[in-house]
Amino acid sequence: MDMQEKIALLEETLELDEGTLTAETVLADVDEYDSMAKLSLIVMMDDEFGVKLTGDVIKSFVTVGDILNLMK
Amino acid sequence: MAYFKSNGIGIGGISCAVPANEVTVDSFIPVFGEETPAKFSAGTGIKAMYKALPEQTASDLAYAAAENLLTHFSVDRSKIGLMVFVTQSPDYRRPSTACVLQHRLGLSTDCAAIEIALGCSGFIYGLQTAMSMMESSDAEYGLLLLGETASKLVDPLDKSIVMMYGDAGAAILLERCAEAKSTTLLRSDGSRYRAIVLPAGGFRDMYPPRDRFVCADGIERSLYDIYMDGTSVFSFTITDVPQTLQEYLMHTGTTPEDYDAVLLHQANQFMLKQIARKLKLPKEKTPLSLDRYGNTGGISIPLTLCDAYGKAESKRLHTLMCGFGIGLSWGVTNAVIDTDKVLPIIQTDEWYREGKITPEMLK
Repeated sequence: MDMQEKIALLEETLELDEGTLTAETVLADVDEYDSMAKLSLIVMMDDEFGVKLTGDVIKSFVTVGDILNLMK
Repeated sequence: MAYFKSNGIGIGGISCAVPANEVTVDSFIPVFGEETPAKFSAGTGIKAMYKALPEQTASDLAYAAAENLLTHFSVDRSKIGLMVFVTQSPDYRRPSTACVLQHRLGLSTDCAAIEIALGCSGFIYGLQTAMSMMESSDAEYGLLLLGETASKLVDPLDKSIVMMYGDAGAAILLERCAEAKSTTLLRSDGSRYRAIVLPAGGFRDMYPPRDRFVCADGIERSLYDIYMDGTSVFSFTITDVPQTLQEYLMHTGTTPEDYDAVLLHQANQFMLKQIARKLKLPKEKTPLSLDRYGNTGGISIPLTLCDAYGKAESKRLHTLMCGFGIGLSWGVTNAVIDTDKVLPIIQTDEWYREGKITPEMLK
């Protein structure tokens, strides 16, 4: 999965319009990135990448890039 | 591996009670506006719950369920040799509320009464404890009681959980039954004890300041309010819980097809959907009660049984049951349950007036 596909998957998971996110987007600035979106993110990361996100890891995310780094 | 086996102890009856006071999620619109309650319902599946009166305690709810159970099945109370009460909302700092319930229910002094302080995993732990005690005793009957009033511990402005907790009580009769067999898997992970925590009032910090502060999730609370790190709890629920269920199925050599019903702790519908999806559990095998009763902690499994089968026609159910949450603590068990033994949910606003101790009573 290339970077563009990962960003598209993230946008779909967070129910955002295509092209909303870049690796530099600060998560705190994304209104839709709320507690329910985080739950969807946990499910997606587990399903697609076998990555188990803990609450502490999620709290450490600052930018979209921090999430992209774990999408492998 | 913490696998436990129980032989010869069956479930002779299940009864649940909730307070008479129903509170809908919509009734929070004046407090939080239209959007928050609607979003909460859409995410959690919870639309209403029952909340105890200020004087009504977890033991009052367990008592009502037990009275209903013992009366309905005409149980000779002198033959109940043990009673286990599961709660994190005791009547007093001490003594154990289990002893108060032994008295109120008119049980014999020849009855062992103990309390277990667990929450959402409490039904599975309580059932295994009561079954083990019964197996090693000569008691004809055993009683497992559960009660919870977690709604009293929530800050009224905490939009993340004030619409989530419902109060309830449950009573389960255990009896000798030659063919009954069950396997239970119990787990705990105290490294995540802060995932759901109420710090004040315990003996680590009895009377800390009541100052309010903004928590990591942006919600204001004090140390006297229950705090839940929702993301951590969710992560636990969709990873550790299905994994444990899968290990249990493998250990017992069973598949979801072998069970008529899979009763999951009623935490949050979104979480339950994820567990069901991972284990490929069909919707018709996983009954829900949280939409009308909220999250009632350890009572949620018996409550779901009473809700789904309390009025059903006679049927023998092979059940798989899984409780998980605060501690963190979780467990899985199986049991054969006759729906004839499952009573419809009752409502009560009764409370134990004698139990409210005044200075006059101590003079």
